[in-house]
Amino acid sequence: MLRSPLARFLAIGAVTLIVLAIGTNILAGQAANREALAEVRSINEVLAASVASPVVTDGLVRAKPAAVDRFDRTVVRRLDVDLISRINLWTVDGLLYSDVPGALDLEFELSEAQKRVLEVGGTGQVLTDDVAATELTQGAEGTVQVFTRIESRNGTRLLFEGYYSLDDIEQRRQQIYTPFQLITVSALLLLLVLVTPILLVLTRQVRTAADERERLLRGGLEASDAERRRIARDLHDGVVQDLAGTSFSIAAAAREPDLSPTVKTSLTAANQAIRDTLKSLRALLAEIHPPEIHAKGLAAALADLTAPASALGVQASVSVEGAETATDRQAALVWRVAQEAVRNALRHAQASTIAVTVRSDGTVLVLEVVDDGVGFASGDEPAPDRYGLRGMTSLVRDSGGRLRVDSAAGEGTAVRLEVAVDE
Amino acid sequence: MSPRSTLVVMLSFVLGVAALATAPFAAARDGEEVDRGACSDSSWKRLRVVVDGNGRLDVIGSVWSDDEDLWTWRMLHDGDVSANGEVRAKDADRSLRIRRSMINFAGPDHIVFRAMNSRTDEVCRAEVDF
Repeated sequence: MLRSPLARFLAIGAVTLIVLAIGTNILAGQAANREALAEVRSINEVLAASVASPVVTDGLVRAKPAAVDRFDRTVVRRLDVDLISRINLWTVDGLLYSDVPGALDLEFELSEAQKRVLEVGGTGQVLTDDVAATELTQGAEGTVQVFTRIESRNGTRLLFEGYYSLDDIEQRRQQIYTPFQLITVSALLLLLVLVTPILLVLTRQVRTAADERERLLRGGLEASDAERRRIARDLHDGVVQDLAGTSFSIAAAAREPDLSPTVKTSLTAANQAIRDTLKSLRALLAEIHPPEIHAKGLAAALADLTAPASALGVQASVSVEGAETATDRQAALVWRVAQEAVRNALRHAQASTIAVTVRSDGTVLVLEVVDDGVGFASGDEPAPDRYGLRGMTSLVRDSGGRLRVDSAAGEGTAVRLEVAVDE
Repeated sequence: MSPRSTLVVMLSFVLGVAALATAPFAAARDGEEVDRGACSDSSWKRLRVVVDGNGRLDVIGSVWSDDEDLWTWRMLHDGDVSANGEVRAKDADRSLRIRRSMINFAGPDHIVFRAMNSRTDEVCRAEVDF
């Protein structure tokens, strides 16, 4: 899945782009919201200072009908804009003016936010939908009330309040937000487009270098393998054949009827020693140059692996059942794991017995290498020079199998490999 | 009925008819108040107050004269000047017409329209309680 670094980069880039776009959209939306609201506050402050404040007379402050008329006519004429849908003028005692018909005949109280602005100055706002409905707010749903403190000529504090449509604010927000959104997404896309060819070139360079390194490594391995093969062939065709010939000769000599029993016994012992040496040599050959493992030859190959055990005084047994359906690759994996496990048991376990069993139920091929040696505590770290267990685990994982090592101090070690049998 | 009583009754009747004939008369339809009448032999005035679609009072003061003089005018709302200005009667019928909106407060609103000819000092005054 997405093996290509470029595909991975593009996928990560696309996800990053989406995340960044969503993140910046949220932040930009909030910023645009604040900006749109700040604009409305500014508009209200300008209207309060330039339109309302100049026509606030002492008569108006005293709620004289004629002064209220003048204020109404002036404000309505000057503020005949779509942006503002309702205008109120408050004093600390209550509503002084409203363009809502009949509102002046009723009594309303200032909200806490309005009282605060009236006291300390500045501008405040509340959503109409967030405050208790009154005759004054009837029909003004979906607006925001923005109020700014002004002062009459005699210093009386008043609150100029305008109702602004949230739809208009949303439109303004979109006007602010859309270009910002386009810039952000375009910049990210551009970055992706610019970086992609650079990454493509770099990926090709890395892949070429990796191919070259792999070629060299393979060459080194092949050379090493050829050398091992040559040594193994020389040993097999030379020393092993010579020892085998010597063994046959000694065996033949030992069968001579004229020999004294003492000599016969000595010859038989010498022949046995040679045969043991031959077994060790064959095991060494198998280690230097592992044989081509096939399912049918798995039992014999495992027997060769355990051959050195008898020389070390270790009782070794090999049992293979139902492994015929395994592929050569699975058989090789079983052999590799068994090789490492047997080698560990012989070198470190101080075991008296080693049992190697392979069985298959047709779906899973199972290898078990069990010894009765000293074992090790599960928390003990292996020595730094012992990479066998780790190497085995890695090898099995790469092959899609499962490896489990059970051990405890003084209770031996059991290595269990499970690998699914290919259909 | 004594001759003295008959004289009093006759005099009251004559004076009543005269008052009705000469006094400015006010007439009103539903939702409107109108005050109209003569300012002098040559000028007539009218003040009409109705409620407009926004719930405000639509106040229209008019003067019909036979000249093209400059008139100063003002509208009072509960005794205070709500609007004022100057205007010259120059329409085809030599009339002037002032229209202003006022707040319709709870209770009666006393509205006065007063126009004065700057040259002759002739005054036209109309008032209604709405």
